[in-house]
Amino acid sequence: MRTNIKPENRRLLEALDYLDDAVISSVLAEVKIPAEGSPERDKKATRRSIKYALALAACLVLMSAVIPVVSFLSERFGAGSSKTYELTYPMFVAGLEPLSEEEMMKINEVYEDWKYGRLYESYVSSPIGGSANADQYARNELGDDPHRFFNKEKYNRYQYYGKFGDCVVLATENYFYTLSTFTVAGYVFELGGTADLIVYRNGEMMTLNEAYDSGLMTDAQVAAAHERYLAYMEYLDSPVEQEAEIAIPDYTPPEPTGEPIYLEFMPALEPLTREQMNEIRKAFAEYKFKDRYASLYRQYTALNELDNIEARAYENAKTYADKMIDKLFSGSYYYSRYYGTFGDCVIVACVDYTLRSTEYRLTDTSIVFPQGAEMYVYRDGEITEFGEFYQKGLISEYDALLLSTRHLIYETRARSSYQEDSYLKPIKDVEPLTSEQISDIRSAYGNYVYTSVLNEYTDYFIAQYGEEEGRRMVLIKAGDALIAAGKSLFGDDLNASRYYGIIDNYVVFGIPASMSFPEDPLSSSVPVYVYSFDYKMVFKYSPNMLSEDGNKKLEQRQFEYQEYLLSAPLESIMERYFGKVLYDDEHPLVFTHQTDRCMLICVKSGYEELKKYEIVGYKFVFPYGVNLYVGYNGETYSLYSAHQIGYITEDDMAEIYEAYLDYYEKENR
Amino acid sequence: MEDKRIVELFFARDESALGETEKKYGGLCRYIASNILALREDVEECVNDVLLALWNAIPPDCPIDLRAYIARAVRNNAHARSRDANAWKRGGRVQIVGDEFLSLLEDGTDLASEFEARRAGGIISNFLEKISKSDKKIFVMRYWMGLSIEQIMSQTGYGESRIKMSLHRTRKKLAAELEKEGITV
Repeated sequence: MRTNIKPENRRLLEALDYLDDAVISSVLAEVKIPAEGSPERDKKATRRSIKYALALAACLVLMSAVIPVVSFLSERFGAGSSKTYELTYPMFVAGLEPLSEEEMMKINEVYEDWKYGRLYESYVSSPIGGSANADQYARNELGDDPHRFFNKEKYNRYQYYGKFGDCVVLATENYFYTLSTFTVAGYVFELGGTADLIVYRNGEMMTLNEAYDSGLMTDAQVAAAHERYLAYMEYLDSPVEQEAEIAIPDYTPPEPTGEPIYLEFMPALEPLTREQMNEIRKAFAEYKFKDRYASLYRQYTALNELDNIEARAYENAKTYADKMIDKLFSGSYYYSRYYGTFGDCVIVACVDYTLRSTEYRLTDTSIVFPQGAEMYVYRDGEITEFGEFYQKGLISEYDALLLSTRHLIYETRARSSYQEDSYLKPIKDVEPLTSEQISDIRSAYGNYVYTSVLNEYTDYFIAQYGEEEGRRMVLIKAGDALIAAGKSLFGDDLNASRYYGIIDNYVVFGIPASMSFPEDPLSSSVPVYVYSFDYKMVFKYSPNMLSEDGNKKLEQRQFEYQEYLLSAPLESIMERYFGKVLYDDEHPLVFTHQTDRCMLICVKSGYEELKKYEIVGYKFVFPYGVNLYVGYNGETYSLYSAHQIGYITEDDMAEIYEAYLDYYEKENR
Repeated sequence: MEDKRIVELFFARDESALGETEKKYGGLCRYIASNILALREDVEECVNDVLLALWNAIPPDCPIDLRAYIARAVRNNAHARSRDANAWKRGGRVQIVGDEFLSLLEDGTDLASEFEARRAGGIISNFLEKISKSDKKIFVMRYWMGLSIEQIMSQTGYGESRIKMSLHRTRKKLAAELEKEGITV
């Protein structure tokens, strides 16, 4: 090993010989193997390349003797942007230690790197993130302009608190409806949005807390930085031009006309009465009136040509606000969404389809409306814009996560499309469902799974991870299960769900035990569920739910369904069991057998010699090499493994051996 | 080919197991070995011997995680070669007996320090599972695989400062964790 590891880490290396397989494997899975001949692999070539590069650089330096060395270095090693801008720091804060131009350029460069890493990591570890899009996410968040600090045009987006020893203390700011609060050595810094409070030192970036905790900054230095932060706050808050306060006239909203509809597909929403919903609608209309009136008043005043500005603004604002009265709880989740009651606050949203994406950034996640929307909070008779509400810390982080989970459910439902009628194929004359019914049943089944997950797992996760984290994790699990459950029902995959029709006014369907909740991967059964049109809910089937004729009809249809699955072309059957077709001209089929839940195939392997196998006591002899594969739930196993796991039972083995003996007899006649 | 299929081939004494292993993990083996051994010839010999050692070890060994099993074998083999080539070549081949295959301990191993190392290894594994994935990745690449900072930059896309800060923080936290468990490094 190239031993540029310090001696004090030697014993650590010995302990690393005993790292768990899981740890090693998880990292190795992401290692990119460089191609043969690439500089990383060809160490000698790399060493040669470095030597040549150094030689060339030396020549260039010599050749540039007539050119000032400083300008050559700044050109060669500069920040890399062709854009020029004036490097400065705000002079309204007294006593700031000056920095050289090179230092300021280097800070921007190092910050870019550091910030990219943090954005990448935060996306990968977020509930809806992942490594696939993390790079894109990080680059988008960083944007194109790398010059974030010491740019005169952006003085309100960063703050420079001075240089303390070799530590340069800085902060970034943006204004996305939240505040970031940092406490360092007892001093509190509050910065807008997803801010960074950082220290640059000798080519490295770290947070101010890290710098303080590791002793790089003293209490006195942090105090001095905080003084400068306060100077910034004073400057930014100082009134430049205050707008005159506008007197808003009284407005009485009309009575709502549309019946407020309580959306039932969202699990565990706190119910509202009809009166409560109408109260919220009126408050919403009032809010819209005030907002529209103020805006129109300013516009008309700026025009300076109109008479009766107040009257005009009032009429227009009233007309607009009166139309808003029926917008909430309209029953169409495309336009109006109710997210539930959190404490004494009701949260709703209006989706306006402006196609300008709206994002509310929360601590752990985001609520994104790709189509454009506004979220509101109703509390004590008043409507407040959600961003402002969240910024004041009036909603707990758990509630915020619950809110984001419900939002995800809304988004998924809004985007789910009508499935083709492949689910109707297996059974003759089965009653078709409308797309509306399919959506309702999927939602109801999703609710059923969601509630089951919460009931089943909440205690377990709390015991494992503590109250707060446990509840958070079970919520995420329940949300994922709900979405997955809804998607699998009545889709193209006839193995994922079975539709048995409308029997005795119930929609009857089956979900294989390996996919239903709670999962039972070793079971071959297909539990049956019913959806009640009256209650709009899903229940586990029991025979007393249906009449005698209804139960007979169900039994007949279960049989028909199974027959259909077995009679399909071999390739499609194989796709269902194995996820792929495992035979071709070079590896032809020898024989197959289907059990209750698996399929076995025997294919030639290509070796032309007598082969003997003994698997769990059963002896197989073939005149040529073969492979015995078992397909279960889209995965491929060897016969031996499938038996070990339990997908193939002893009875199955006996059946398979019979099928083998049939083949053997035919071959040897 | 799936790992469990490859292991099945070993159990069935089907020699295509070696071909499949080489196809799937040959590149990774060479990469790990090349960060430990300087000469390409040594790397190739190391990988070939590990493949043969696998043939002798499986069965009775039945690795659950084949990738980690092979990677560990290559690493240990390469380390042993780099320590003392002559001590390793006992009669030309490594003697494979169950777990001892993985440790390749020399004679006269201090069992007390081996026990401590195993214990520390378990603590470190638990610790690595608790830190962020990126920090874990950087740490394992640096100290288990022996990659240079530049190689880690190439693997991860992170800048040099980020990688160094990650290593610094992780070592600091790990030292605290080990000290808490009564192990000094």
